[in-house]
Amino acid sequence: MSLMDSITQSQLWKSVFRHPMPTDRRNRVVVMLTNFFLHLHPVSVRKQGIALSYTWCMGGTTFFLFIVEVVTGVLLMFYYRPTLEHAYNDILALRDVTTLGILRELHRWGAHAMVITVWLHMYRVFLTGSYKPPREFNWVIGVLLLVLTLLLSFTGYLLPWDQLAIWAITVGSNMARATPGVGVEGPGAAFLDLNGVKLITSGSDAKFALLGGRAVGEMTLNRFYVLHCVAIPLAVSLLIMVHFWRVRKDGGISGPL
Amino acid sequence: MHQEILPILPHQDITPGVMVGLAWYYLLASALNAAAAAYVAYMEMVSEGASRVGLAPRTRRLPDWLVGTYIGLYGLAMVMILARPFLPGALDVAYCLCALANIVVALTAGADAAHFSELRASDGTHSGNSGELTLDDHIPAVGLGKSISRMLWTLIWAIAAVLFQAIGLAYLFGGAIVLPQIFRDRINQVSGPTTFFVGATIAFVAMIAFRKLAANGLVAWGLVNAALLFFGLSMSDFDFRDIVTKPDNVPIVGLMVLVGFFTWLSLRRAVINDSRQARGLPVLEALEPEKTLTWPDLVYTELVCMVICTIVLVLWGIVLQAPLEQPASSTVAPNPSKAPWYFLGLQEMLVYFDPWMAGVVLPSLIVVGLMAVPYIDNNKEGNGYYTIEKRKFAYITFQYGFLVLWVVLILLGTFLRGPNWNFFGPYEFWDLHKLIPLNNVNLSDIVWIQILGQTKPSSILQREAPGIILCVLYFAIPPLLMYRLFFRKYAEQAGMVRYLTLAVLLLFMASLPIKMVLRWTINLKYLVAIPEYFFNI
Repeated sequence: MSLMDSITQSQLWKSVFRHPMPTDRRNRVVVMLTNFFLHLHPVSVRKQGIALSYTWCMGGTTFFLFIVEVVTGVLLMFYYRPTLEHAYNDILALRDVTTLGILRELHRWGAHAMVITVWLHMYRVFLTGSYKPPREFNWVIGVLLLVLTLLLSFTGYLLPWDQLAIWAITVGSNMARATPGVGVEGPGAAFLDLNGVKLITSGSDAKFALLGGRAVGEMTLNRFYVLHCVAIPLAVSLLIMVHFWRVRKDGGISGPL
Repeated sequence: MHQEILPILPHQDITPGVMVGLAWYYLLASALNAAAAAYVAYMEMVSEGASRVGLAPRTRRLPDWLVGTYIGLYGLAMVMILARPFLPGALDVAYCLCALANIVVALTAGADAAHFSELRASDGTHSGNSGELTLDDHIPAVGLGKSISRMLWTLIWAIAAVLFQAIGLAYLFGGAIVLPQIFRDRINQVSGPTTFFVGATIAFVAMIAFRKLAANGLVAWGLVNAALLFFGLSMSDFDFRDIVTKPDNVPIVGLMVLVGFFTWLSLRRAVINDSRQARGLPVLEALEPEKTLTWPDLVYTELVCMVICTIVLVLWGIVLQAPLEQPASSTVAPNPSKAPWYFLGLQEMLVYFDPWMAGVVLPSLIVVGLMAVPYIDNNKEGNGYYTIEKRKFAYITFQYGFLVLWVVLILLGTFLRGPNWNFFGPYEFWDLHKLIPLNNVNLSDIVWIQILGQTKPSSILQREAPGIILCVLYFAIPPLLMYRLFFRKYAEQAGMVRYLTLAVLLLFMASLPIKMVLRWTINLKYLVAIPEYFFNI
């Protein structure tokens, strides 16, 4: 018995890999059925459905970029402290002194790339009419994922706490001030008063809720940090699971019906 | 912390660094064209959708000596690049080796294409029987046009390769080629939001109207070359370069390239599918209905995609540092103050709408509208393949929304909006003190003061009555008209709820271009202006 055989015949090896290297037809089928990461795929797919000129591979690339963002993001969290005192200097250090400070570049460019690939994925899905029955609801989930992707990118913008960050957020959050009904400078707010006491003020409107204060400050940083690192990624993960599951249930990668 | 005071230098259009960068840029452009020439001359020319009987797959092979020369020259150049710490001037030598390789490929391809067609004309070995298509009659794809002359197109791309190479070599050896000032001034003069937006709309309509022409690979490659030349020459302008190379703007340049390529690819496949269906042939996507095992066919593709993606990201991260500006300060506001680039289309709408419309109502409607698409679109055709004919309305409306109302507005907001959100030409210095006289007026001013010649009534409702009536009419009459003219059949099939949702969404989508046109033509600011209650439309 060769060394290789004794390794692959061991109980340890067999407990990890349920089948030999998938070189024959049977094991190619088995690997798709028994591997956690592969079982989202069907065992066989339509040839034309996986042609790159048809799918552009944008959905998968988006998912890969999301994983890149999660991994680099978690690694960055070991380093970065979301307080006014430390935030900027931690990012500065990532650039200048930290080993593997390139993680920040990967994280930021990955985020930009992910926005682009999400758009192109939706573009392809629309142009091939792949949102049509039975995939209507998966398109809706996709739109939600688009919104969450943009929000992920947007909330991450604040964290370096540089000029670009706070002014971009200021531009964004000024919109909230104008939200109809719940923003202090939005239509309808003027009517909401109780015997002359305004219900919606700059201390109680949508912008205040978003920023945790009247202007971008420490509480904003905290809120955006939690949104960016916990709240939105959780929601995205959940929706991605539903999205993929429904792709499978609705007949896999689309093709002519 | 004290700030260093730097002497103010005049902006340099051309610096040594820029010239080196442009030299390598044109080397790349030349290599692409040399490859195109070789592709037309030697490679398999029967593309998607052609009848394969008697035509494919037949290829000419690149001559062995040419392949050897090409790889040898580029390999030698790589060695020189690696050895540059020890050899002064090694980079220049490497450049010249690469340039030589490109020129050899381009010229050989041109000469061979000429040779092949000569042989064919003299009834030599390559000629076919009379009337039968031969290797020299390339049929681009079913319905895309007549057969092409390989020799002509090989020569065109070979000449383009040599020209680009000449420009690159000129830069390498110190020839400072710049855009003529008069050209820059003219472009700056004629560009404005109106020309930009109207031009994009016209280009979009032309793309759809002449889609057969646009889907032709040769036309598309010509446009790519024009874009390469325009971008390269423009990079010699300081102001253009300054904005385009800002790290956060680089992804948008990438976005333009990707969106352009995929739009063309999908257009091409749609045109081919449409003409195939017109001839009773199955669509491309239905050509190979059989299945294949996911491992290895799909899994390996995914693996390669991931590897390429990782390489691109890592290289991007090494070459371009993520931006980090001065520490946040709530007292020093940058000018222009911009949102992240993917929201700049929305920020552009702020010019034409009140924040509550541009920032809240319209974005929400975009999201809701997108979600509603599969429930509004009851057309069963065009599911799972590219087509325009079978679903013209949905296809064109969405593509216009994405390309013109989203991507073009992002480009406008990123590259052309400067201090105070003023519009600047592509070669214009972002002058903080640029003053644009604003004499925007509200509809109530126009009606009461300009037309009726009296002061505006004090009652808000009466004052704004013209605008309010117009808005009500806007949402009442067009749906009726559209119903009568275009959508009767759709409304009967899909029901009134779907039809009315569609109508309202369309009207909101159309409100952006309409409002833009009103601003440009009669300087209209608001149709309804009730600043007392923050309600402006």
